[in-house]
Amino acid sequence: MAVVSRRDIGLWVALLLVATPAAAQHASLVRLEIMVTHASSTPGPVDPGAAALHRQLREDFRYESLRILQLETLRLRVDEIGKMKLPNGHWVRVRPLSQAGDRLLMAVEVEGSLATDLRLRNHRRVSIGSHRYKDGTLVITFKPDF
Amino acid sequence: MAAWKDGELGGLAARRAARLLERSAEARREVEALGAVGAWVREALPEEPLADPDLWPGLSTGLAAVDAERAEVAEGRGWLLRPWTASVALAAVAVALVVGLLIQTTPPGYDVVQWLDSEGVPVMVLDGPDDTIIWVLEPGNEETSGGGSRFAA
Repeated sequence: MAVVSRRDIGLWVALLLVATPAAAQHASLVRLEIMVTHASSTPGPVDPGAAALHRQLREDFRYESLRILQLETLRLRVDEIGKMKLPNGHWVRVRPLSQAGDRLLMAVEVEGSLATDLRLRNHRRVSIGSHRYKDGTLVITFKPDF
Repeated sequence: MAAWKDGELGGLAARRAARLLERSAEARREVEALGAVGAWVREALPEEPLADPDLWPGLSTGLAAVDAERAEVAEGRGWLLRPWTASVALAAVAVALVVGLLIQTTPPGYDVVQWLDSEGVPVMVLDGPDDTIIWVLEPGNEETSGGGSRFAA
């Protein structure tokens, strides 16, 4: 029969105390892909990387070309603020508010346009068309991975 | 003279007109001129009587122009919205205005957008099975948002 000393128990408790927050932190790390595209009235191509967005938009919106202007991936913990500067100088700020299971509550602010709280399933895309830019509109697409 | 020529004068007036024509070369010229005018009018008019005019082609063209003008106005609001989407969007905005709020709370069926503040600018939300589109219908606001409490330092 194995004998567990007080010293061993203390060690296990200490390990648990150290490991649990680390594991929780790892679990709540949100990888957020942000793509900024320009839906333009000028004839031109649809960037291959924006094909999914094009399928999403083409039924409802008229444009002649769809170009990716920026593509970034942020890695954020819950309550951590990430930001990205748009081509027109405005900022986009995102902040994961909570994450449980396959649901993420995330605050998004598109400077000069809107602020919103989104409840997202994993890998669900949300696109925000907001700022006029040149001869079109900037479309900001968020895709979380957690 | 015109009345005499048209046979509208009777009795004494007709006799006076006849005497005037006998005496006055100017009156005769006037009657001749009236005759020429009558000939021109007869030449200009078609021999067959005019059928009831069909006003619909003109009306439909006019209505189409009005529709196009309205569509242009709607297009100006949403820039690249397709027409049917614009109609749905405008209807949604109208309903929202009647209710007195614009997606301030979670609308039924909208799982993704929990809260939204566009500072009074109309917003359209298209919720699909795998993606959501949030579209500000009057983009181009260059002023910096005063909100952003979620991001306050």
